[in-house]
Amino acid sequence: MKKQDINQLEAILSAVFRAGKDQRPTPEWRVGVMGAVRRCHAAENIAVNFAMIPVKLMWRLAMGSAVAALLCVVLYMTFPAQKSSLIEVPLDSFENAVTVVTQI
Amino acid sequence: MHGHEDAAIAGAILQGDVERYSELLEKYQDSVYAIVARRVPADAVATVAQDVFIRAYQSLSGYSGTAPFGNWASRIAIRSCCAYWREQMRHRSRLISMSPTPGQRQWVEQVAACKAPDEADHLVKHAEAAGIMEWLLGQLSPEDRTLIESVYIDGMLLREVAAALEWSLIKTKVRAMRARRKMRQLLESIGESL
Repeated sequence: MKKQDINQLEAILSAVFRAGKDQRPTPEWRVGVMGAVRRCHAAENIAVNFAMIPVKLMWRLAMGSAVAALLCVVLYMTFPAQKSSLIEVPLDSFENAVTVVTQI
Repeated sequence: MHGHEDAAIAGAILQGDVERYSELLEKYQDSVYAIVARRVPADAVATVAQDVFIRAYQSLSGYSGTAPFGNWASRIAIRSCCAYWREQMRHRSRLISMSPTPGQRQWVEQVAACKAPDEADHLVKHAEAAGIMEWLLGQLSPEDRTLIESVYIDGMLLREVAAALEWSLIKTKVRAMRARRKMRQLLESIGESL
């Protein structure tokens, strides 16, 4: 096969490939695309809400735990170990703190 | 001007006004649809074109707004078509046959027998011609197929295709040259086997 034959074939094939490929979008297709986009948007919102709720909850729990721990440390340091009135064993200062708190 | 308008619409969509996406869809549906229609089989055009607009919506935050939305969407369209052929190749569901049919060989013989280009005009409308072209493109990798369709059939500039496929210009040039050479060799092999 000569080079010019190949060139001719190439030109014809390019023309063939371009022909009959001028499809246009239909109104139904457009409605379908917008429907899919709306579904994507809704799915994104659900994903965001699911992600946000545990984060907020976990932050609150963490803050609550931190405050409780701080309170325990303050009580532990404020009230030194004392003898129990019931038994002759000195109370641990933590137990002591708990006793004081329950009395309050 | 279009870039600024499109950027404003994209900004509103990102703020939650999803209905404004229909404005972008209305504006660029024809151009995106045409890009897809030239690259994938007729029965897959609607699905791939829809996929392009959904992908564009999902990655809208990546649209810079410096160029019209259509330019950005057309890059997504080219990549989506490439992904379509990659998927077809993976599933082997639309594999092109390994050799041309006898009818297609005969068509090549008829074209080769024409002495002047005008003589071959009537052969353009033959179904065999489209079959040969599909066969030739089917022998290329999905990336090379996308490249050849964009450069030699769609008439895109090499740098535009390079940007769409996220390749360097040198790589695009080399791959285009090799793919075209491969297609010519395939055509020659049909001619020799006659």
